Amino acid sequence: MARHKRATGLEQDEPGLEISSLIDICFLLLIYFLVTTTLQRSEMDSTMSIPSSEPSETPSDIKPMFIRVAGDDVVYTGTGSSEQALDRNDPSDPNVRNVPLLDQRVDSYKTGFAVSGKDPVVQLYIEGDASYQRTVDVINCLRKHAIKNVAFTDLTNN
Amino acid sequence: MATSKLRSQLRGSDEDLKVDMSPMIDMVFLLLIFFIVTANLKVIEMDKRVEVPVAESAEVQENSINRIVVNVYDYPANEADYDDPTKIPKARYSKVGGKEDDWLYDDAAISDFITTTAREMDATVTPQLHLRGHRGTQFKHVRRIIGIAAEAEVSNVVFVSYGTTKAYK
Repeated sequence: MARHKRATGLEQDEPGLEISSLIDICFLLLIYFLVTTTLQRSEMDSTMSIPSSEPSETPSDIKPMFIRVAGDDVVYTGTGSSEQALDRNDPSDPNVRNVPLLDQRVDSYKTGFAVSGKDPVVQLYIEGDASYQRTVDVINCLRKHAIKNVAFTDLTNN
Repeated sequence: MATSKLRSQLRGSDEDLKVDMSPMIDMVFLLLIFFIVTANLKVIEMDKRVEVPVAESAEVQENSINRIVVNVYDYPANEADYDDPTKIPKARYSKVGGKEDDWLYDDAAISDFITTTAREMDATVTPQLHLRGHRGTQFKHVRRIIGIAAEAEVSNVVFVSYGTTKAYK
């Protein structure tokens, strides 16, 4: 009688599903993703099409927008006597990267082109001593206004 | 007699003590799915010696097949610092990994690397210059690479950046 009872007890245990290995794998994956997502911030793209530095044979009738970044990271627009200083770096805080005045200029330039249906043309002249971050700030501003085609006026290091 | 009674009591309490695992498994699955979804797989190997600039309008990297990767370091002015290549680069420029054979010492090496990599690519893709420049470096060092790439007829340039300033906080 007692033997019979013990046998039925064993039979009741058998249908239980073994989930410990599943939990092991889940924890393993969880820890993997926890570690990989916190260690490195992923890098992103700012793609720009930069035409060849050689001058075009057929001059364009579109008046391009000139932007100059000086060696002290000040952003200018226009050429010659009509050149205007727009955004200056705040020397007290190197993390200030905003270019609000350039943003306004690019916006109004872009609006003018929206009527004509042509693509805006931007020419960048960045002096050799300007910081790379400041250059990317200007490129970031242009990309914000969906301008993905710029010409660097001078690609040689003199 | 007493022991059998105790045993039967213990056997009864055994069933009560079973831990209910299902909420824990639910939580683990939930967290697992969250991290799988939010994880951004890195497309291009990142050399930590290059601190890329920040640009909020940047887009997420997707494909890596048509990229010619060049690192531009913030090269030290002091020559005594050149000895430790794990912290300080051996040259201002390098190929993707920045390892022993990846250094690009002069214009000829850079030009050769860009031309060869572009030629080896499939004819259906447009080669892109994947430019990982240090945010503190002067633009003339970056311009040098863009100029050499333009001569090699690579006119699409990817300025690699972080999408948020949180990367440096």
